[in-house]
Amino acid sequence: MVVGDVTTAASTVVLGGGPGGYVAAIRAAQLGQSVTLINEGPTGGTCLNSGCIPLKALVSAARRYRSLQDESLAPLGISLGSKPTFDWSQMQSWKGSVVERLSSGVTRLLAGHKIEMLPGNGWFLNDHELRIEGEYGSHRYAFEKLILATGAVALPLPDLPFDAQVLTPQQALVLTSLPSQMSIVGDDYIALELSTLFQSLGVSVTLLTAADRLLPVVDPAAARLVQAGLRKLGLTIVTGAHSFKKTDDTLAYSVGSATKTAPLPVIVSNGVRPNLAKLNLDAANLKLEGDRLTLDAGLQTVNPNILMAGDCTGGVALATTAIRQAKLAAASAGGQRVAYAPQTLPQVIHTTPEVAYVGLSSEGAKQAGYEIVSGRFPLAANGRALTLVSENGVALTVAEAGSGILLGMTLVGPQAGDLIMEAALAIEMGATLTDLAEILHPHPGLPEMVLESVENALSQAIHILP
Amino acid sequence: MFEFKLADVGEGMHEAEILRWLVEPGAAVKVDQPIVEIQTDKAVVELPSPVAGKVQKINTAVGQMAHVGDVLIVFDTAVSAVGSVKAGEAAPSPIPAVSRPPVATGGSLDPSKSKPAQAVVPSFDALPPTVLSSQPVVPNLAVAQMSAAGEANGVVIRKPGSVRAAPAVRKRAVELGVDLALVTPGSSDGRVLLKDVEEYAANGGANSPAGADEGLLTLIQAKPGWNDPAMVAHTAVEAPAVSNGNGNGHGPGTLTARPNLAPGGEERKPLAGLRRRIAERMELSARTIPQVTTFDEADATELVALRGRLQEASLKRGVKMTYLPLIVKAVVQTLKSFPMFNASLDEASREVVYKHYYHIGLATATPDGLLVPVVRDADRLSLVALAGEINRLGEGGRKRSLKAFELSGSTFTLSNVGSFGGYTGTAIINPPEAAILAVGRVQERAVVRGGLVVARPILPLSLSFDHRLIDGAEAGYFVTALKELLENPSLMMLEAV
Repeated sequence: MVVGDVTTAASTVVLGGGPGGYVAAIRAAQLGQSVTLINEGPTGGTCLNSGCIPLKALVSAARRYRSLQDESLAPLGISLGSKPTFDWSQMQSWKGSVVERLSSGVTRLLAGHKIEMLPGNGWFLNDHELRIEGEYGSHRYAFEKLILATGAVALPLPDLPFDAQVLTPQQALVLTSLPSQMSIVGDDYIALELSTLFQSLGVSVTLLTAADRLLPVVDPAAARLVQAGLRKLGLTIVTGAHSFKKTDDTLAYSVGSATKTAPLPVIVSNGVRPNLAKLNLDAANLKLEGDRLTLDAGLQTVNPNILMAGDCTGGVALATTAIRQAKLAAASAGGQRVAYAPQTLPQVIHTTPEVAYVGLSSEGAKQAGYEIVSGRFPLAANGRALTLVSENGVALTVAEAGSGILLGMTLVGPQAGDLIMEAALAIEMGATLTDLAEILHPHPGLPEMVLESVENALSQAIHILP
Repeated sequence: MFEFKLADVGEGMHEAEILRWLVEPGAAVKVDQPIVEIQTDKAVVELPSPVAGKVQKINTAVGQMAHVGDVLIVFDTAVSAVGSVKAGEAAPSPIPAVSRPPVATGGSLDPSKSKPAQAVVPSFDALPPTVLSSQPVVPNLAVAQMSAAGEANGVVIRKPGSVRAAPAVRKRAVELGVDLALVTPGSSDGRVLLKDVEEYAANGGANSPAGADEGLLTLIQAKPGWNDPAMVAHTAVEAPAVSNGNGNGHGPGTLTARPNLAPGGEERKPLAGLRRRIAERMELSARTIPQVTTFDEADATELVALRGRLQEASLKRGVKMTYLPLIVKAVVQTLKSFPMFNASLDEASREVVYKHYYHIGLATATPDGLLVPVVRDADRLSLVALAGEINRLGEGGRKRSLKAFELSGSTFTLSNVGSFGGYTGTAIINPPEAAILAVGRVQERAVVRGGLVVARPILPLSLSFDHRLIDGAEAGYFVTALKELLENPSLMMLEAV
């Protein structure tokens, strides 16, 4: 031991300051634990600083810019005197101000909860102590409970390592200038939102996906609308693409046996890998299974004093789940019996039109062994949608035949990501089609698309013919 | 089609209580996959499926008694469980996975290694209240998360026929360690409500189904301020908050008495699980056996000394030596001299069954109640082997991990009534045995030796016997013979095997 290497005793230590980490820290403090948060970099982690929030900010700005050029404005009698323009660096600095505001807000919340914040990174010395190195030097920390929330890192494609021309999604969000053309590889929400962002700002984007259609997990009727919307923006979509390689100045790939090329730079959204490599897990007797640690339903590792939340679990890499796991991990660390067992994960993709889905698709429900009834309601039959000049959309309902228990819903259209929560609540509550049909829905309003889709499943929708 | 019948899983078992189904109708089942948990005489046993197929029908509900030969479950074997998913074609994730590597949060992160049937601990009260062990207690709904289909993104997908319960109810179930699949839905539309879970937990594993008047209506009682007549018309049927206790019907105000209604009142809890079995056995004993008890005391000076001498050598063999193996050895030798004490009365044929084997039951306290693990062929075990077996059975009994055959078939039972305080006591015969010996606590007591009052370690003995087979005189001889061996344990060497 180094002379002067004094061990600091801490009660609950959280490693990582993203949505998994800071939420765990705050919840642990609410539960009366004394909390130390160790975080390298700005508070808020990937999501707040370089992921979801910057992406959503830029997508919103880009969609807003794009809407100014929409042909739908003319019938309303609106014309813009000159062609609208945008300033990418101003858009970036505005994004930065949003991030800055949120990040300092989180820091204030942490301070308000008397959470000790320690800048730095940490790794295991043994199963109850961490070494923390940061701007205040190197410290030895003994913890009673530790919540790991170290996030995840972008996973490259096999023959396409990240470099100056092969970008991670996070790198793409801090481009200093916009290229005239680019490629985006991936079929997740990140790839679709980046495509929407850059294509809306005039970049000629080629979206390359491995699947044979866009959004293979979303109901085909909904996916077709999203695909049509993206094509309308001018996006080039290539499905069934594989074997990506960088040549001198292009991206080579194959479709079937044919070799083709697409422009550089390319953004690769190929999922993430838990960020556990530098934690010296062996010292704590934690063993990786593949790239992750075994967890029980209470988010405990094999060592009950070490818990996890967020992307580092290797679960679905969304702040949605990280935030939930963080609260449970904090409760679990406090000795409560908890289980991470959501039934549904509402998911949103901010394309134009927006798409959101929760629970099972028709196909998924049949695969799971259900007899189903389904309902469908086109946005074009919704009064509010017409007043918004947004009739491109649909609401799809899936329920169990007989009982009428709601199993899933897919929404395409404006604010789909907000409207989906009615269905998420219904599924979690075990509500039936009749439960939903009995509830008053504001008229005229977009929520009526949910109502009428549900009523269509009951063969009773008012505004469409059977 | 394959009908799975309840077979005899333990010696002489003829019925079993269905504790929990580990599969549900429609589920694909592999060969050897555990399908049901049953409780036989005193053991909890998991039965594996002998075939692969799809569950067509479950015939026996949880809590029901099934008899050997009853068809518990019917499988459709036309579809093999393995064949139903095409090779190389994973069941599509119902909710899209956004991250590329397939993920399963909670439980084993490798779905191929996860065992849904083991994800739920069978009995919540076997767990320490706040500790989630490596075997997480999760509600039924969470099990799916760790099973093959739901792993795509760590989100549980409702399975056909699964429990309907709101998130707050599921949360409470986890807190209380209640498996929702075992809770009788209190709502007539099949929802498990908060009160069902709490009632289930409070009653140690049982709740009563609600009448039609209860359930959801309790959630939507008309409230002051709801002045819309249309709404009040729908919700005016209030579930009565108190019972008048006459239990004659289900109209408002006539509900059957419910537990926990008034502070200081009374509570009713069903006799369930092991407690029910214990009660049945006790009733059988008290009802069918005219039993009387004789008492004596043995001077344990030699026994204490012998045990002290054996302890060190025994510990070297990794076995803790208690008085019990020594007493069992003495009992077995005495039984060999008094065969009637190792016999039983066949009530049906009115014959006395003499047994030429010596299986000694050991009454054992467990957190769930009394269990009687059985040391088989105690006469053929060395003393150290006997001590090891007794320790193993005691531990297994407390953990409820013993198999049915380890809990049945005893020919004579020993009850160590002194181990929990009290000086001695009488034991009740474990049917169909002829007698039971209770040993009290070894304590120094004042006794007269050669006209002088001296302190000696005294072991109280009490022998309860079936007076149909044994008279008081024989019982006296038996106890005297046993006492002689206990007071002079070296005499056991004469008959040592």
